Amino acid sequence: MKKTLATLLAATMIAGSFAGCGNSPASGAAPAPATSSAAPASEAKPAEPVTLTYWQHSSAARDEMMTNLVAEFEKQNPNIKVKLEFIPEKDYTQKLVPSLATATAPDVFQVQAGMASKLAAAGSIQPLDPSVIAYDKIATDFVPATVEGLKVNDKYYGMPTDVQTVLTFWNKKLVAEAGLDAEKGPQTWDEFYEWARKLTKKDASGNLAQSGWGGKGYHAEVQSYVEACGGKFYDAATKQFQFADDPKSVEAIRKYASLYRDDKVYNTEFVANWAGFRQGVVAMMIGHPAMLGNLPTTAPDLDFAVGLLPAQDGKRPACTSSWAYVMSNKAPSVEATKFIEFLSSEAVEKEWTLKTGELPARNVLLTDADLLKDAKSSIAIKSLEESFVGIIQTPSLNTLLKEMFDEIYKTDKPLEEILKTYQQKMTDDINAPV
Amino acid sequence: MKTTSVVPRKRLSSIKIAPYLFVAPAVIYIFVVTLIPVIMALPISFTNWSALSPNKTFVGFDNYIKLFKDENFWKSCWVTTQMFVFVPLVMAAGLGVSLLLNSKIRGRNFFRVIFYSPVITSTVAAAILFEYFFQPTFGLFNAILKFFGAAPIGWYLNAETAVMSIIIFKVWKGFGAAMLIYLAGLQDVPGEIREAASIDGASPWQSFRYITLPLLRPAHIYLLIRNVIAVFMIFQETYMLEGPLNSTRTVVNYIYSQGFNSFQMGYASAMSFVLFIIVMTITVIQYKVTKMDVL
Repeated sequence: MKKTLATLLAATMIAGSFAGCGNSPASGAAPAPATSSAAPASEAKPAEPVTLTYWQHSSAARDEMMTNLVAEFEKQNPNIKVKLEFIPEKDYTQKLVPSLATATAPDVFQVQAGMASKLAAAGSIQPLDPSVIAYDKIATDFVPATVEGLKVNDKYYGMPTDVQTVLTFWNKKLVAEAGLDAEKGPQTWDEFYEWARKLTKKDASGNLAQSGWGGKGYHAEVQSYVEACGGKFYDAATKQFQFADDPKSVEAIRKYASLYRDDKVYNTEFVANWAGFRQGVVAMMIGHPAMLGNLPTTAPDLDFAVGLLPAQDGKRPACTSSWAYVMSNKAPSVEATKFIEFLSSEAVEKEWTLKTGELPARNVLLTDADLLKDAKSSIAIKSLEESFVGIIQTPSLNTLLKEMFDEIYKTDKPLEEILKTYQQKMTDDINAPV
Repeated sequence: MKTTSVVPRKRLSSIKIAPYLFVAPAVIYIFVVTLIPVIMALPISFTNWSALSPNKTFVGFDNYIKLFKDENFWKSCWVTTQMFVFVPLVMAAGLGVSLLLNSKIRGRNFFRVIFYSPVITSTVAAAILFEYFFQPTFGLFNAILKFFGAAPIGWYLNAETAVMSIIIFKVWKGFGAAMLIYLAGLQDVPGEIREAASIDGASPWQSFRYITLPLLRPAHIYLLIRNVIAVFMIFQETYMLEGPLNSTRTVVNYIYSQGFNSFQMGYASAMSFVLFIIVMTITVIQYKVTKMDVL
């Protein structure tokens, strides 16, 4: 008996170790199934109300706005009810993945835009209903970089939201102290790199005392610079990453990395880059326009300016990333598409942009007087004019790019060898069966 | 004869069922939310399931073959192995503090509460705090090192010192629990034995080495088993304080990243099952070596 009890206890203790992981962010426990009272469109009687479930990653401002938007949508569509569920951002993936795995996903939900093609390939989401939203209108009405990644086999599987490009941020005080033009900012990439060197200061022991630029391989700035140099980071036709085989890409990445590796304008052991920018010890950053709303709150005394990315040969391509509204394969097609169409309508996008600081995706809003009132916001919106869709928009590709730059910065391996290794890993990842 | 056959039956019915009823909710809970999912990992490990849909394709032993060739898996095993340094350290720290707090010093209860408080602090919240402490340029720990004339180090942001930083954090977080177990154990060490040893001329060290330490054996065994399992469970600490070049990526972190970032749930399940076998083997060995005295 004692032996049996001991074995049982041993097994439960070991299993408990895995259960411990369940309390952590690794929790894989399946959530309560999403209840959808919606019948498939073909079976639904027109008079019967249809209930859609909708999941959104949560923040106080967004939750309140979405609640109001849903009320407005239900007023416009009396036969459609929307059951909202707000999920903390840190738990969102852990809740969404089990729901997809068990075919209990909500009717409409948000995903990183890069996930749309994977979910489409897995058959977990369905294309938008063309009887509700005309595909040719999507192509003409939206900034191409915001919708191209959502198109699979000539069908749109979602509409963009939370659109972001990248901008240059600089600390006006530090830039002026270095005798540089704090109002205008760096105009070309060569000038940007020169500024980064000039703004870097070392103490008597040779340690970093002020970083000129906190660049450490952030995917949007790397892709933007490679694009500006005429390089080919990824080939959509063959679904192959190209950055290690394309000489222009290799040179662009070498030059980008040399600022950290050779000129030592930044070191991850110095200070976290955005924290350092807020504290006034990192002079320049490249980041999302969302920081325009964040910085005045988190660093009220910081005097910063913002500009478009530096130019290369007169062009300023800016990498775009976004999230997307998509609908599960079990959602009632017409009603779910109507809800997604509503969320990406001109009026809603405008309100969303004004309240969250995320960029609009509709072309017409790029010239909207209300959105262009604020000087800094207008620069952010202008950055969409030369935007292109970024390929690094899934968690795994992000991780691989981070690992690649870790190796470039912190090992002595030849750059070409590292690029080849990670080019293959990323190609394998994007083509992994789903 | 008659009476002897009736009494045991009565005992069986009245005494032995009650304990099982008491433990039943916990056992059922563990079976449903832990053991069954662990067992389910086995069939899933023979598929290429992405978890992005319910569809699974049988791939035989492909995931296991991949696992044995995957240098990242073995590297994460090595990181986990390095973390075992934590076990003797946390036990030594817990024992040292419990010995101090077992004597009649002023503010004893206050210090007991203070030293136990990291145990009940959220790991995530504590890790955020330590992120600031470990910060190489402006952090507390390097300021202390500088004060004593030592050179600053990169802590978890440097691949060479990252594991050490995680161990420091874990020891801080866990020594209070070890202290509590040892304090309970010390209550069972009869004062007369130490007194007798003292009369016989034993020094305090000899008294500790030959009396206290052996009598704390059940506490040692319990803490050894508990902390070995705790090492296999390391996830949140390394998720929050992530070192460069995957220097702090434990097996559980790697399983998580393959399952939830790369959407290779079949492969992640194969790794989970291999980890389960490793932990099971180590635990069985521990029980055999310690002969279950703790129970």
